[in-house]
Amino acid sequence: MRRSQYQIHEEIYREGTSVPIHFAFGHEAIAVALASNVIEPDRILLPHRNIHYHLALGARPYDLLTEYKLGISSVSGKRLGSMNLDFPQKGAIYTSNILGNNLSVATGIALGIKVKREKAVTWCVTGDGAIEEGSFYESLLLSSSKQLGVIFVIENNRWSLASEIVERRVDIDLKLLAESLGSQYEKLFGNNVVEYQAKLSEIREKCVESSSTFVVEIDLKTLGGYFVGEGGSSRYVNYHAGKAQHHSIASRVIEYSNLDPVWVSENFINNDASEDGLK
Amino acid sequence: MTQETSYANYINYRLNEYVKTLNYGVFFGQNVVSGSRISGLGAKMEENRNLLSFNTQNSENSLFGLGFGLSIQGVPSIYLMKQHDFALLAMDHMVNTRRLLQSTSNRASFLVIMVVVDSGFEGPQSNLNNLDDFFSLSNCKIWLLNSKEAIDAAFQSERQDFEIFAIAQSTLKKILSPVDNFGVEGGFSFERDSFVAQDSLPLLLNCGLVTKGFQECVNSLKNDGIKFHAMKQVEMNLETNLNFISKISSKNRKIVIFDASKSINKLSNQIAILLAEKGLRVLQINRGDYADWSYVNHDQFEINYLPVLQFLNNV
Repeated sequence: MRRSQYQIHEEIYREGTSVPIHFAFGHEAIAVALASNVIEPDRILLPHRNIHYHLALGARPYDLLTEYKLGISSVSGKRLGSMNLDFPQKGAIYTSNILGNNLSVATGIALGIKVKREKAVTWCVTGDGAIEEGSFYESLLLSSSKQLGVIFVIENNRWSLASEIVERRVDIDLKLLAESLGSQYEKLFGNNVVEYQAKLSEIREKCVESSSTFVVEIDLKTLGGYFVGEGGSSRYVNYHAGKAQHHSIASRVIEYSNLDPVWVSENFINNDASEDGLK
Repeated sequence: MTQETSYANYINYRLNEYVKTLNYGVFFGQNVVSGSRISGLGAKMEENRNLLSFNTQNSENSLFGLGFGLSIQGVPSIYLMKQHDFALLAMDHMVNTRRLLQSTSNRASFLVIMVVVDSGFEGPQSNLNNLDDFFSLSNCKIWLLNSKEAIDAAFQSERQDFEIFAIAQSTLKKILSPVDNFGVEGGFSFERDSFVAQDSLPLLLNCGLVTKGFQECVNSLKNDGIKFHAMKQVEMNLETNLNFISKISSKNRKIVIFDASKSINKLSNQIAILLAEKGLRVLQINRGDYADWSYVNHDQFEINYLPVLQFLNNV
């Protein structure tokens, strides 16, 4: 999956295009674990950073590339670009480029599932930036109050654009917040796909059985960041979107290899990042 | 329903008739299944066994998201809300979510019924109770429930995936005037056969939710024996409205447009521009400079009839 992301990255920025893809280097483990736990008719609602879920759900890199360039492929079948891309045949039915808009839509879908008496959960992915929006609090309250089967997956990379949590707010105790609103809480860390799969399977089962709301916080690191400034004033900045610093992809992966041992050599990517390679 | 009734009761009656056509649905909003409901709107809706009806928390943004989510899932819903200005909190959903959903299949209807608070003495936020700016931002389909024929037209129209029914607070408890000879076309209601004749009689046109001043002016002119046509906007829909106005406008016709909106971005301005471009003589009656919405005020649309009379009598 990471190789596929690198391939798309290299191909789409080869000609200097400005498509604002939010790559998810380092986020792959949760995407694979979630995708493997989706059972029809489960629903998935994604945020603007969604490439890893689409790949995990089975989208071909070439098709993603086509959609990013506003073509039509078998992924969404529409011209949705990168930040609104959905994948309805795999259950990913709504993706919001507006921070936090997918949260409340998830509550409506979950209520619809309840009204129709379907055995399914609604997976709603968001991040540590979006939980600062009022929509997170409102949706969590709504979901818990109506006993809706929503699993809110919070990808916590501790960054919003180029601001770390410590620069913008106090630490939110998500466990305390979730439980105070009547939701259940779990935290996953370590990027172990097998462990993540097992845990999400257990959570999904509880969610369906008890029709209850879960908050699952994922501790992860986004790779592909870079340093600004020189010498003593040099500062690390997290990768957010668009073109990653080319030289930094491989070197930063090595730097963070203790946290994330999965990486792909730059030479390998370059040799394979062609349209034919993506197909 | 034939007996004399209020706007709120008639809307409830129509809403119940609509709900009976559904296999299942969700009815929600703040205080909609208890107490006075929304000034009487929504009374006894929970007695419909095919509906899941419940009172909600106070979070308009998320409640719009709830309705759009139900729509995706194929479950029709009705969201009844009191103050129209709180819907501004959900503008992201109306602009973004709604447009994204237009390409999804099997959506169910999401109907929002909202009360525009025009009863006055509300403070600066009364400036936000204006549908024109709301319409301009969202480009939503909005029905104006400002008469019996408008309510009938709104409920008789085919339900869309998302639409808004707006009702003025000042009219909720009022008795509906009986109507028996009205048609609705192009987003306007008018006396049937009125525009079949290709005459050049003046046209009095009311835009927006408030009709009080317009109606008083119409009655006064009729008492004075002046002949004219009268139309009321019942649906805010730029394309439909402009097409219809364009169709029925002959060059010799004088047109008086009444609009109580507090917006400087009125849909009626677009209509006036279109008519002026066609060479018609147009008089716009709007709120005057006295309307300072930064302060608490009585919120009444005051009309000076003299300019209207002068305009109509001036050859």
